[in-house]
Amino acid sequence: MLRKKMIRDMRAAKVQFISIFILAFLGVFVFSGMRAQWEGMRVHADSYYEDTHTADLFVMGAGFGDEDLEAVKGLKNVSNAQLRLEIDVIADLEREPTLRILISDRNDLSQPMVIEGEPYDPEGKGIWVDRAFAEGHHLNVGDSIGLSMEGVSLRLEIKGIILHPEFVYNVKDSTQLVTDPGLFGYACLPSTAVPIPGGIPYSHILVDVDDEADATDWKNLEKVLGDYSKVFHVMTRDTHPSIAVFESEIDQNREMGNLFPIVFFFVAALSMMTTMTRLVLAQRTLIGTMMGLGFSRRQIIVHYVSYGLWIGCVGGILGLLTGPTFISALLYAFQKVFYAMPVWSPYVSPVSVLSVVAVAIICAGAGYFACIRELRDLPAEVLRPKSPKVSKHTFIEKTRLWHRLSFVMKWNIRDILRSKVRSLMAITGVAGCTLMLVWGIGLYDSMNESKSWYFEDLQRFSAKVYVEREALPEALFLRPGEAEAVDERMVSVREVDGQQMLAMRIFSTGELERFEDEKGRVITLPDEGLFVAYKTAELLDLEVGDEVSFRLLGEEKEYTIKVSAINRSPFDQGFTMSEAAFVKLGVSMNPTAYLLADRQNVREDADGIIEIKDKQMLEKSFERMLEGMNMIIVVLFLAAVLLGVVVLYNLGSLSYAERIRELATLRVLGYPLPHIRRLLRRQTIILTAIGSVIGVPLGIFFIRLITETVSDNIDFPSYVSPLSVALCLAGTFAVALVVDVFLSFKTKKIDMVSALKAVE
Amino acid sequence: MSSLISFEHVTREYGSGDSKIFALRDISFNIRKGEFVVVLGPSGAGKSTLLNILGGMDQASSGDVSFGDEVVSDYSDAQLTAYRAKRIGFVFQFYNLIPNLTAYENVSLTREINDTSLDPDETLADVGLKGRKDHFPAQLSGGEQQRVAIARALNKNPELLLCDEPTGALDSETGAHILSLLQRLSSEQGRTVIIVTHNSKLIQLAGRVIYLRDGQIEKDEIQDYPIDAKEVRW
Ligand SMILES: Nc1ncnc2c1ncn2[C@@H]1O[C@H](COP(=O)(O)OP(=O)(O)OP(=O)(O)O)[C@@H](O)[C@H]1O
Ligand SMILES: [Mg+2]
Repeated sequence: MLRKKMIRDMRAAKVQFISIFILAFLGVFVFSGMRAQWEGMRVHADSYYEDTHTADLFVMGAGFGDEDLEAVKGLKNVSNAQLRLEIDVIADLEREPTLRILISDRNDLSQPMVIEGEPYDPEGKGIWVDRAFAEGHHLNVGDSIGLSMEGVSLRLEIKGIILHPEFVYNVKDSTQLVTDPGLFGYACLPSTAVPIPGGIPYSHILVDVDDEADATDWKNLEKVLGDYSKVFHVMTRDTHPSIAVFESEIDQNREMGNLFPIVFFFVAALSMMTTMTRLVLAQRTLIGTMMGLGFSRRQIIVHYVSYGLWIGCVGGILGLLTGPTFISALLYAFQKVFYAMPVWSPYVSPVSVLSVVAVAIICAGAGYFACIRELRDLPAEVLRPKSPKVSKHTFIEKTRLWHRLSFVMKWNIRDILRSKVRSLMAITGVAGCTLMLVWGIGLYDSMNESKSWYFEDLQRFSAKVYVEREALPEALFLRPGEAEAVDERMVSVREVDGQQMLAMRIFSTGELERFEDEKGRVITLPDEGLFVAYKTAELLDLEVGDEVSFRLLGEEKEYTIKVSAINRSPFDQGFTMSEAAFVKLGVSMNPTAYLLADRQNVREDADGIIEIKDKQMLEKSFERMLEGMNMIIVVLFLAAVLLGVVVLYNLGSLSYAERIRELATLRVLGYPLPHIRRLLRRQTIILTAIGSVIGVPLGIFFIRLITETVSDNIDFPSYVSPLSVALCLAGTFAVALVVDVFLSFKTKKIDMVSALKAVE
Repeated sequence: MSSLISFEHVTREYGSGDSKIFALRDISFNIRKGEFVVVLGPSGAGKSTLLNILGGMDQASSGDVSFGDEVVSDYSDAQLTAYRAKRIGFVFQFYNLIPNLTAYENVSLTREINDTSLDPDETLADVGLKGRKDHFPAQLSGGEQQRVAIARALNKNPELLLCDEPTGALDSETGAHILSLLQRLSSEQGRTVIIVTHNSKLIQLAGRVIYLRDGQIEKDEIQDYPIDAKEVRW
């Protein structure tokens, strides 16, 4: 019987209950969706690494052999180890792509996962090629592929198509953001397939650490391995370029997923409060009757709490059923461009399920508080209609300004103060709406700002030519003097707990690249000392004037140099030096690329050119990445508009329902409809103004949060243009005004006779 | 004297077919300027319906309602609104004051829509509430609230003051004060006042009494010697 009453009550106040339902739904939809999305990545990444026995430590060096392997295996806490040679070769295919091949005589650690073809055989005779590369070059199992390696050419049959756990994020070097399978790929090769006289000079030792090993054992092991004579560098999974990047992608998604839905939950709770307060107030007499009929106080409270419980559960369960699939599909489509994972599927964890419980509790709890607050009185008093809330002259009315306000303003301000929860709901909802608009548009602005900053301000060249290390500039360029040489290499820096691999760029002059310090001032590369990029400085905790020591790959010697400035750039993190400063260390520069102001300067057919990259091309690939971002921005916008519409429509219909008697009185007095609409609109505008003004800084804060946590390799300053802020405010008001148009149909329906007939 | 208002064969029906209800059935009468009229009838007789049609809150289903030379029953919604704004003052049983406006502000409401409005301070003084103008309705007694409602109705300087059970929610003494106030407005300011009630004691006060039953006029009487409300024994 009470269930029937509930359904009828909900039908009577359908706008309010539908909006709570939508909010509960959206909250869980977004929360469980985003959570399932990143948890799916985490779970599948974990099992991927687990199933393929991905190594725990990666020892990089030169010329490792069996005795080194045995030595590592003999160390404490090492349960297994494997040798691997990683080497870049040129494949005999269109565009002459680089293929990074992994040669091993065993298949114990970091195993390739075969998607198609024969299982990987460490004693076999063929090659196993990565999926993206195979697709990019239309290669199939059974085809053969020609490779040239250190002057030796060989042809191998493709035995299988694979994915490799260490190549989830796979770019050739830091200048690429997205995999271009046309130019770069990887493949696994059994050592038996490559006859190298005198044995293979392995470059990696993969190490599997005991399960029981704790953090200090790890650190010890890293130290011991790091001190080993042929070793350049030791990586853990935390510093592995692919594993760590994917991990930080997951972290970033988690960050967003935790913040985003809070707004919805909060607004749902406030809506529930206002709606239930109204309902309970309207039903006081009925409640008195129910008490008279013998229902206990508890039963009555349970009855009213059940409204929220039902709405929260139904909305939440629907959100849980749709959110994970929908949101994951949306975001994975974007992420698949960057990452190669065997499985992309959302994972609904108990926490997601708990969010349904949470939203049900939030709704029920809000109902409970509203109920308790209104039912404090004794049954006898409940029976009587509650006397209207006494308006007071609040502190605002004592100010000078108050007397200047128009009558409509005074009235609305009092009404806002009288219905605090309702107003708070509206302000929060509107703030949430503006927040998401600013967030979305700010992400877009920040990206675009970074784009023009990087490609227009910092990069002063029109093309970058990648060359073989020994190539002479005279052979490559028509006017070699105009080409600016760059040496891009990796260095390793010893930290308190382990080592970091960092990019280092050495410029012959630095004329075709601009550098900016932390305050955006232009600085030039000095003849002494080095620049540390902002994110790198944060990572290593470096300041101007500090000294930093690094080792060049393949060398044991450690160089120490002073930090002369912290420079900012969206992408090129790491160290930057001038040739002069580099030479002072006693090493010589060995260019890997040249920067050209004039694209025509290059001798297109010269040997030694690996690749010519026009700046437009680089810019294009960045724009491709931005396109993926647009999807997220669209989602943010949709969510913003939906939230705004739901909350403002709810506000409008609540405020209409609560003031119907006042409005009817005004109609009787002879107020024309437009006048009354203006009165109602004014309140919407006041609350929208407050909410949107709060929303802007919050939105900016959210952008900052995202851009700052984005990754150690990217330094996107958060930026929102004033125009965008104005657009967001305009957008919020547009939502408010459109909703107002729909609400204004309601005022036509004010029936003076029946509105005034009812006793309060 | 010419008539201010006339009802000619006015019918107001609700519903249709079998469930059709006649709230007013073919009613005709005239009211002259300055008259003090009591409409008496039992519950459901159609009194409020009559008053609502008079006041432009409701429209007749058939028949003509005219105010002076104008035919109110032909008015559009906007014209009705203007009619209410300019000519009619309403007083209800439950006051219908706006709770979060002070007494003064409630009375001032009329100034937003009517340029012939009076000074709210004076009107409040007229109903004896000079000192309470900054109080909110909830801070006033029932009788005081009703006086604010009357002041609000009067402040438009209306040609017609319509009161639906104005003393229905008040004790008899307070009621007498209100009625006396209404009488005074009629006699001193020459306003046309129509009071609707089911309380037969009120008939002694009026110069004219219309008896309503089942939507029809039973009797329409002129009284030559109405009594002052203060002298009636309640
Ligand atoms: N909206 C409506 N729908 C149907 N019937 C209605 C409606 N409003 C009024 N009536 C009917 O019209 C008749 C007259 O109603 P009205 O409100 O005018 O009575 P009244 O004389 O004012 O009664 P009371 O003294 O109780 O206020 C009643 O029978 C009532 O049921
Ligand atoms: Mg009535």
